[in-house]
Amino acid sequence: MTVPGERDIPGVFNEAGGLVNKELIDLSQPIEPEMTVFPGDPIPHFRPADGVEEPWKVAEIKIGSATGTHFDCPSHLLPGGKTVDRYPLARFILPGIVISVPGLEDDQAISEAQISNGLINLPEGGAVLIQTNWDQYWKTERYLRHPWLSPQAVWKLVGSKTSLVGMDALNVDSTVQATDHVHRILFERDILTLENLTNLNRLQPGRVYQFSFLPLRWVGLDASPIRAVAW
Amino acid sequence: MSTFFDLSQPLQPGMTIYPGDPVPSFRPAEGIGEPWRVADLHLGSHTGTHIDSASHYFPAGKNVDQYPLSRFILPGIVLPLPGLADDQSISAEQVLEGLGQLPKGGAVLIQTGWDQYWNTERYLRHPWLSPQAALQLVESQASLVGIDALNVDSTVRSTEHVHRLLLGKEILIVENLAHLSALQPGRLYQFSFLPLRLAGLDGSPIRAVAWEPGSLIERGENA
Repeated sequence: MTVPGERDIPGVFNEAGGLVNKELIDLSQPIEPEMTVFPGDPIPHFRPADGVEEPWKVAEIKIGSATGTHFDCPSHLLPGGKTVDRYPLARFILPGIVISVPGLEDDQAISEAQISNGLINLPEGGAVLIQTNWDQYWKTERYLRHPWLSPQAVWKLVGSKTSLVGMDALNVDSTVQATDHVHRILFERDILTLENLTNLNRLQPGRVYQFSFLPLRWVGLDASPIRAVAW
Repeated sequence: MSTFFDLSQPLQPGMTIYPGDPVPSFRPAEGIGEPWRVADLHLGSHTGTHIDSASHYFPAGKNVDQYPLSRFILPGIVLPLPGLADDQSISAEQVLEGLGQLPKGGAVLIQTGWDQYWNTERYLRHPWLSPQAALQLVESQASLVGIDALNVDSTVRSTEHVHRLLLGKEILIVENLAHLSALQPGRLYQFSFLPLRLAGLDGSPIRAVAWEPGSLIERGENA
C-alpha cells in the first residue's frame, strides 16, 4: 500500500473541497538539545521517559517557554500583562508580509527608513516579519549579535496597525545592549512578538501570505514555542 | 461567529495524562533578570492534545520532524458516535456510516464525547477502536485519525492493535482532542495539527484547530 503522504491530497483546501496548490513553507528552527537559546534561559533537554514499556516510545521534554521559534505575550515583560492563552485564535492565524532588510551588521539598529517602504502592502492587523537573514548564524556565537529595531522603527510599526512583529533573529531588542524598548512599546499596545524565525528568504517581500503561528494552549504562561508556517 | 475552532485541551499542572507518562510541571525559570518572565516547562511528548508519529510504536518508524507539513494541515471530517459506554469498543459499522464525505487522504476525527470527563478518573475508561474499525479507517484512505479521548486503543485493557494498524500504515494519530461537538458531522473542515519541530521525537503536543475551508486572506476574515 502507498503511504498517504505520498498520495494526492492533504494541504490547504478551497471552499469546494479542492486542493489549493500552495506550498506550505516551514519558518521554524528545529528544537534540539544543542540549539541556540537566549543566554540564561532553560537548556532544552529530551530523554526517553521512565517506565514506558517496549515497544512504545515516549519522550520527556524540558524546554523554556521562549525557546526556539516562539511567541512572546505582554506578560513576558509587563507585570499583569496578558498570557498566551488569553488571545483569540485569529491573532495567530493571520495574513502578513515580509520586509527584507539586507546588509545589516552585528548589533545594528534597524532604522525607520529601512522598514517604511516595505510596509505598503500590510493588511490592517496583519503580521510584519523582519528579514535580517540572521538565521544563517543560528547555533553560532554571532547569532547573539543580531540587528534589532530602533525606537523609531518600532513606532513606525505601531503606526502601521500591525498586530504581530516577527524576526529571523534571537530578539527584536538588542541582546548585546540588553535593551527592552521594542518589547515594551509593542506589548503596551498588545502587539505580539515572534522570534527565531527562519527561511524568510523563501517568501517574496511585500507579498501577502497566510501565516499560522499557533501557540500551545498553556494556561497562564508568558510565551510558547510554535511551529511557524506560511502559505 | 468564530472563524476558528479550538480543539485543544488546556496544558496545566494537574491535568489528565496517560498513566506513567511524565507529570507536567511549569515553573518560573531561574536566573531571569527582572522584569522579564520565562517559564521552565517539563512535559511528555504525548501530554495533552498531541500527535503520535510512527516511532511512538515502531522503533524504526518516522519521527515527528520527518513528515511534510501537508500531513498536518489537511481537510477532514468529524464522525460523531453518541451513546458509547465505558471501555466500549467502536465497531466497523459505527465508523463506516460517517465516512461518506471523507476526501482521500483526509483526517477522520472520532467524536466520543469523552472530553467531558477530562480531569476525572472516568477519562481513562474511554471507548476505543476495534481492529475492524481500525481496518475500516485504513481502507477509507484516511491519513490521520483523531479522537476526543486519551487513546485510540483501550487504556483499560492496554491494547495496541489500533496504533499498530494505523502507524504501521503511516497514518498519524491525534489524541485528547476537545470540543468536536462544535463542528458539524460529515462537513468538510480545514484542520491544523502542526507539531513542534522536535528533532527525533515520537510525538508532539499540538494546538489543534479547525476552520471553514477556503482562503482566509481572500475572505478577509482576519482583517
